[in-house]
Amino acid sequence: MSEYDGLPGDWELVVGLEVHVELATNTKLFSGSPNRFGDEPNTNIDPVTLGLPGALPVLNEQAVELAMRVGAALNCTIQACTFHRKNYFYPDMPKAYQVTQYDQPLNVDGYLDLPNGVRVGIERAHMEEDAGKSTHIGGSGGRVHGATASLIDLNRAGVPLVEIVSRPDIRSADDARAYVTELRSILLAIGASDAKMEEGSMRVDANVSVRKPGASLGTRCEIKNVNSVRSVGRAIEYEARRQIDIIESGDSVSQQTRHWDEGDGRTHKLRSKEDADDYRYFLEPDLVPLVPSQEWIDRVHAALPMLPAARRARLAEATGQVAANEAITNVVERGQDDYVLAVGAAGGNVARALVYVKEAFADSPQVPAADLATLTVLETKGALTATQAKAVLADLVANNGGDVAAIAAAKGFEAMDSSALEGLVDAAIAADPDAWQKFCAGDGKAMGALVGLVMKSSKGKADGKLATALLNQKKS
Amino acid sequence: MTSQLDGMLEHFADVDALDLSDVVPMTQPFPLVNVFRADVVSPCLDRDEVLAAAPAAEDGCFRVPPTGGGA
Amino acid sequence: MSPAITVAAVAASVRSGETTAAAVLEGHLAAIALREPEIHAFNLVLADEARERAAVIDAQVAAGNDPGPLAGVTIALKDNMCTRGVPTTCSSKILEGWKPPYNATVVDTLRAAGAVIVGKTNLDEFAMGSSTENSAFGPTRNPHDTSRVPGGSSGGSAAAVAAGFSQVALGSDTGGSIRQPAAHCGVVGVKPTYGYVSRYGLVAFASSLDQIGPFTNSVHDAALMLDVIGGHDPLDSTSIPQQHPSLVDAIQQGVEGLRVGRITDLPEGADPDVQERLEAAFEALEEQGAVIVDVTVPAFTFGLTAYYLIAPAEASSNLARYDGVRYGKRVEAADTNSMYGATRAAGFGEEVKRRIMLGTYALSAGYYDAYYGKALKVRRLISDDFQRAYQTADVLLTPTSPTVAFKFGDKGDNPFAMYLCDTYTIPTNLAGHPGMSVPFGTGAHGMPVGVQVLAGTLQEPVMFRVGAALERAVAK
Repeated sequence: MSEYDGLPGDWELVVGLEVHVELATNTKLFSGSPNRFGDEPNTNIDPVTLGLPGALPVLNEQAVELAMRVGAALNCTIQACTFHRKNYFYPDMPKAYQVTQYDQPLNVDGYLDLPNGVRVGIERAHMEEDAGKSTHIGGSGGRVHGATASLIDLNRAGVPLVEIVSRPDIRSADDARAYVTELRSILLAIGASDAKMEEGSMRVDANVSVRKPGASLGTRCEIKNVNSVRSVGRAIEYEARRQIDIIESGDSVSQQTRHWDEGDGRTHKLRSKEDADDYRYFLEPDLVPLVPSQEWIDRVHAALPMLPAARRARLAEATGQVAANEAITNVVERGQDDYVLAVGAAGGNVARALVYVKEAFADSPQVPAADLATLTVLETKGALTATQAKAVLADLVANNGGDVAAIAAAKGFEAMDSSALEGLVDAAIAADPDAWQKFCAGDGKAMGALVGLVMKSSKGKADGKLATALLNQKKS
Repeated sequence: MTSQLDGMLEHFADVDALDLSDVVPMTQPFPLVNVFRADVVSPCLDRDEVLAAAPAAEDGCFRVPPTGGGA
Repeated sequence: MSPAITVAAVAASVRSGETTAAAVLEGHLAAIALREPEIHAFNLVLADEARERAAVIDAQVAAGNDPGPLAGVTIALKDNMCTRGVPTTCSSKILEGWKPPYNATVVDTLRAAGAVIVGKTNLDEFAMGSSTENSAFGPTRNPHDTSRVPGGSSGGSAAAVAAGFSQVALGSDTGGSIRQPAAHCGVVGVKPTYGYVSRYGLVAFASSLDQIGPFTNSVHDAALMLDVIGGHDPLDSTSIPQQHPSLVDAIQQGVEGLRVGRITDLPEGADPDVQERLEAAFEALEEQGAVIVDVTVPAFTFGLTAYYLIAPAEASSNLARYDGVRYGKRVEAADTNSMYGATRAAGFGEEVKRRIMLGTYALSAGYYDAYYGKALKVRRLISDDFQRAYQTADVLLTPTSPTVAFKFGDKGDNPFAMYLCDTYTIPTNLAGHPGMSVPFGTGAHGMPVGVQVLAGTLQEPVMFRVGAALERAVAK
């Protein structure tokens, strides 16, 4: 299941993830320019976005609503909060400071449960504004190194972000990927963001360190430029091994920010801890505190849709599986769980429906739930074998539904009633008394011979499982 | 200039005599909370007018020398 | 223009057709032609634009429409307020020639009220100074004695009104930059409660201290101006939401029974001539029925220290946006960091550089608590002490400035000597309270002396009543 080898020896991986998410608002965090991806450069601009002299920020109420939803969905405490200025120079920073949250963030102390049951703590999820985009021209491959100039597009400057900081509770590359995937599902479910890593509306930075079991936390490095779920795993694996190699050769890991290069599959140093800016944080004097009322907080909680973890638990209970079951995880991830339950509500067998849906549908099933319900009943009743049911299902899928009984009949899958089957079983026993005696004495192979006789005499229409059950019944 | 700044910092030492241990910092002259705007689009600036005021522009963007580092 | 003609009278005459906006304007343009070469109140005189505007207003009147409460009233704007399509330089080389693509809210308000903007006035660069000697485009001279400074930072606006170049002017006040030049030029200058007038489009110096306010020839004119430009602006998060009562109505009331506070522990250092005028002011108010009470404001004396840590700190962040990337002056270089350094070294004057360095230091890691953090606590003490004083007094009376206007170059190479000019005005800004300077006779060298009236948050009505009473006393 894992595509990763795991760390050598008894080395333990410690990972925390910082995820920046663009909120799905109409407008920017502090001004009324559109929040849109892909428009012509510098067309979604206003005095605030440009950092013009005299411009002032005013907080977007919908951005606050969505940020609170994120906090609620991550089981955080939502609290009164303030905004600070983080001061540093960079061409895509129009004011030479970013408005963010510092010591009093909106959401604190939450958690996210992975499908496999691991609980990852969420330290904080705060609001901040995005920077613009720089394109480096004249060099090779669009990288900074060797460029002759940079072109600045401020469309993205001022877009509302939530920065979600996990605690260092992640212990494997697989779990890191699962965290990102689960977080994305949650964000989509609550409508907070479209969370597309490929468009930059969800960005992941990984803090990676290694240690021996029982030891204190090792020195960590921050990995940036991780642009897909797959890269999350690859970058973490690479970085962990890089650090292990350093330590095992007698050196110590220095705290750095490193850049993941998908092309060569390695991380490269960007800057060291000593190079880090002093951001001179101070309270943003152009804004006032944000104090969400208890009534607003309660409304946000009440309006949360059922989240993926709860969906998995619900489906698990209905189907008699564990929540971490692969079929359950997949079906919930694809948003098919409501459908599976609808099949049950239509009188069908939910456990069978789960299997059918997982295997037959990539996304939203177009087959009416009632049709699938009928099919599951026929199979569990024994009127259709598992193989036959699969064939009927294929038909249903191809035609977006159908009359199950008619399809079965057309394929020659007559429903064999139980007395007819019992007759065939009795006949098999009579035909091979030797096998029957051996079977009664506990010989499993003998049963195979008897069942084979039943199948032969029914020309394949008998249900092997039911025949076996009948034999067992008669044995006792 | 450094000596002038040093001189000023000396003057500022007058506050060292104050007992500020129980004092809550004052950041807001007028106590307001929860000032919002609605999530509604308002007219944008004209890109041509803005770039005309820029020191250097190219392809609809602000053009600057290479950044030489940073994220 | 005789100062006996009020703003209300001019507007009434224009609206009734008794006179034209064009005629009113020509009177002021003639004064400008005569004395502006000597005084240099303006960075830019907008003669053509003003004539066009006056013509529009006269056409509106002719068509039977009402141009507004300031119809035909000439106004000069400090050159740190954004005027669309018209250069806004903050008297700095770094913004020389820059034309904002938008109007400050006050500019839109004035235009909608029918005012005629005659020009952008000179200031200390980025509003940092007390004499207008820090302008990158040469100083402004005091119309009463051109060998003396007009005060600062809004020296141009104060001089414009004193010399009759416009009937009113707007300035900005961060530590006294309206009140002190008003006192030096013998005009009325008002800084309203923080949040009373919108800051949107006012180029920021210190965000938690800046306010826009009027320079006028009379207290009544100032009341009318504030009634027009005051009020909530949704584009400014720090703008006070509630509506303000009319100040023109408020000053109808006398000062009978009002308690006027004398600050017995006020920092010493005012010249004898200034002290004498203050005493005369107390007597004049007593004669009109006010009661003089003694109060103390112990933390008043720490205002300078708190201010010269808070204001430069906020300024260092507000002025970081002048990096040559999006607007203003740029000095080209091989990389962006070098470009920032070269641009700002060439574009900023000495005082601006000094304050940016001081402010950066006050916020830096390891020094925040000792400087900026401490200053915020001193600010609280000052606010608390004022609050206590206002339990026993309705207003407080102090000198506006320790001296009359000084000669050019008087403060020499010692910035701190210049900072002392604001000793009496600074604490008001720290507390967010309103303050006004009313001309009250002359002092040394026949130069005007201003008396400062202070009041608590949103106590403009009572402050204006006292100002009007002082004005009545001088008129006698």
